[in-house]
Amino acid sequence: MILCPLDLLDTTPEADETLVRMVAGLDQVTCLLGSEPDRDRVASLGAAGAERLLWAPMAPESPTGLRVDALASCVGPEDLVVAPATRQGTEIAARLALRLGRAISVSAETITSTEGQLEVTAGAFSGTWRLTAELPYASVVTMSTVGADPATGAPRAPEVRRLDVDLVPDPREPVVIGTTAKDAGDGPSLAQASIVVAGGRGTDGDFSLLEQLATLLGGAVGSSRVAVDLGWAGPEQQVGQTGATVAPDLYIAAGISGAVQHLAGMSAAKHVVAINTDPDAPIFRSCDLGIVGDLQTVLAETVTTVRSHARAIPA
Amino acid sequence: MTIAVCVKHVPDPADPAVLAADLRVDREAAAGMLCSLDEYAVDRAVQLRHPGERVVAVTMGPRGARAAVTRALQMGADEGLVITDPSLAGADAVTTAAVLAAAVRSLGDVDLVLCGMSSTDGSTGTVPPMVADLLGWGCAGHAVAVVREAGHVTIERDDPDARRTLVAPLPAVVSVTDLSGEPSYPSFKAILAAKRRPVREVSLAELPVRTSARGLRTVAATVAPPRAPARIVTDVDGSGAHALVQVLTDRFPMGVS
Ligand SMILES: Cc1cc2nc3c(=O)[nH]c(=O)nc-3n(C[C@H](O)[C@H](O)[C@H](O)COP(=O)(O)OP(=O)(O)OC[C@H]3O[C@@H](n4cnc5c(N)ncnc54)[C@H](O)[C@@H]3O)c2cc1C
Repeated sequence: MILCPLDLLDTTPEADETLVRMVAGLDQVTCLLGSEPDRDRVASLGAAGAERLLWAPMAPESPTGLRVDALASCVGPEDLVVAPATRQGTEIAARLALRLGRAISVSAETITSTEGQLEVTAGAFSGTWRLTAELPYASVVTMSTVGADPATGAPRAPEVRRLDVDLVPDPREPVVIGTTAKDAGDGPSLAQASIVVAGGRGTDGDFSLLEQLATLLGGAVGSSRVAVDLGWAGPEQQVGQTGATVAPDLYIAAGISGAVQHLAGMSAAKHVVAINTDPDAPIFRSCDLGIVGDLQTVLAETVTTVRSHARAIPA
Repeated sequence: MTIAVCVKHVPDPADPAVLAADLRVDREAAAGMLCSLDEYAVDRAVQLRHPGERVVAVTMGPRGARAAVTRALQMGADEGLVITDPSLAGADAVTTAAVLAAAVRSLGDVDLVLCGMSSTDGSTGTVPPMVADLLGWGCAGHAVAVVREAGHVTIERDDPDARRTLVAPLPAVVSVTDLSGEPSYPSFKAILAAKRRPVREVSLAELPVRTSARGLRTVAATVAPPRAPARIVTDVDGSGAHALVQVLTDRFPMGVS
C-alpha cells in the first residue's frame, strides 16, 4: 500500500490529485486527509485512483507533528509513504523516516517499483544533473508534482473512514499565534499557470506591464529573488532554488539575468522567452527566444498588439 | 547560554558539479565554501546572541569542511566544532542529523540551534527537523524573521496562502530562509579576529553516534541536456515585440484571443 499525506498547508487539491495519479499505477493508494472530504473531493481523489481516504481533523494551523503522528499510526511495515515535495511535506517525510528508520528520497520526479525495490529519478545541483536512485519499497519519498501530467487510471469509489486515533499536540512544537491570509488574486496560481511573466531587477520596480500581459494571457506574475528583496514582488512570487519551481508552457523572463539559482526554478518550462538589455546575460543561454532590448518597450508593444488581437476576435 | 549554528561546506554552485565514481559529490575536487543559505543562519545567530553568550558553528564533514567554520567565525561566531571521521564519508541525512544532534548535546547549555533552510548541494531540507526530533525539541522551519525572548522564540513564516507567526518554547531548532535578511559581509578586522577563535576537531571516537545505512543508493547520474541555442532578436522598431507575439500566436492560438 502507498500512504499519501495530503491537505497540507502548502498543497492544493489539484496538486494532491496529481500526486495520487503519479503513484496510483504502482500500488493501492490510501490518502490521509486533514478534514472530512466532501462528495466532490471523494469523487476527484477517486478519479485520480485513490482506494481509501482516511481523515483526521488537522487544520493548516495544527502542528506538523500531528500529521507525523497520524501517519505513523496507520503506516504498515511494508507500506510506502509518498508525500508532496513541499516544505511541510518534506518536514513530515523527514520526521517520519527518522521515526520509522526508513530510507528517504526527496523531490522525486518519477517513481517505479520492481521486486520490492523502488527506483526514483530527481534533478540535482540546480537542475543541471539528473540522478537515479534505488531504495527499498517501504521507504519515504517526496514527489514533485510541478509540470507532471500523469495518465489517469481506472477511477475508484474510495472508502472513507475517520482515523481512529487520539492526536495530541506535543507542547514542544511551535504554535501558530497569528495568520495574515494572502489575497489569492483572480488569476491562476504561479504553480498552475501555463504562462508565467516574471520580472527581475531590470524592471526597476515597475511590474505594471508584466501584470497587464499576464492578465491578458491568463497567466501569473513571477519574480526573481532580487525583486522580492527589493519589495517589488511578494515572496510567494519568487521563482528559483529557494522559491517556487514552475514548469509552464511559456516563461517570459523580463530583466532577469539568469543566475543558476533562478534557473533552478524554471528550467523545466517548455518555452522560455528572455528580454534583457545585456546581450551577454546568462539567461540568453537558457532560453528559446532571446530579445535584446528594453523590457518596458518590448512589453508595452506586446500588450498593445495582444489587446488589438483580442478586439479583432469577438468573444 | 550557547546558540549552536549548523553549517555545511559545499561545492561552489557557480562551478559545474563534479561527481566521484561512486556518484557522490566529489568534495575533494570541488572548490568549497560555506553554504550560502547557512550564512543567513550564522548572521541570525550572531544577532540573537546576548552579551556573555557564545555562538558555536558546528559542521560535519571532511577535514576541509573546517573552512566553512572559519567563514562562520569571520561572520562573528565565537567558536567552531568540526566533526570529522572517515566513516562519515557519504553520510545520509539521518546520519548527518544524528552527528549534529550529538554535537549540540556535547556543548551542554544550548537553548537554540539555527540552520539554513537547506543546503545548496543536497538541497533536501531534511536535516533541521531531524536534528530537532533527535534532540527532542520543536522545530520552527523556514523563518523569515526570528525574535528570541525569555523561554521562547517567535518566528514569522511565509506560506503560500498566508503569513504566519509561530511561537516555539526553548530549546528549539529554527531554520531560516534567504529572505530573513542579507548577512553582512565580514570586515578585514573581523577576518583577522576570527584567526584567534578556537576550533575543535572531534572524531566519532569522542562523539559516539549510532549510525546506520538506510538503503538509498544512487545508481545513475547524467548531465541534464541543455536547452537548444536560442533565436536571438535585437529589438529595433518593434521587432522584439513582434517575435514575442509570434511565439504567443504560434503556441497559444486560443490564449491570445
Ligand atoms: C542560496 C541562494 C539562493 C537563491 N535563490 C534564488 C531564487 O530562488 N530565485 C532567484 O531569482 N534568485 C535566487 N538567488 C539570487 C540569484 O543568485 C541572483 O542574485 C538573482 O536571481 C538575480 O536577480 P535578477 O536577475 O533580477 O537581478 P540581476 O542579476 O541584477 O539582473 C538584472 C538583469 O536585468 C537586466 N536589465 C536591466 N535593465 C533592463 C531593462 N530596462 N530591460 C531589460 N533588461 C534589463 C540586466 O541586464 C540584468 O541582466 C539566490 C542566491 C543564493 C546565494
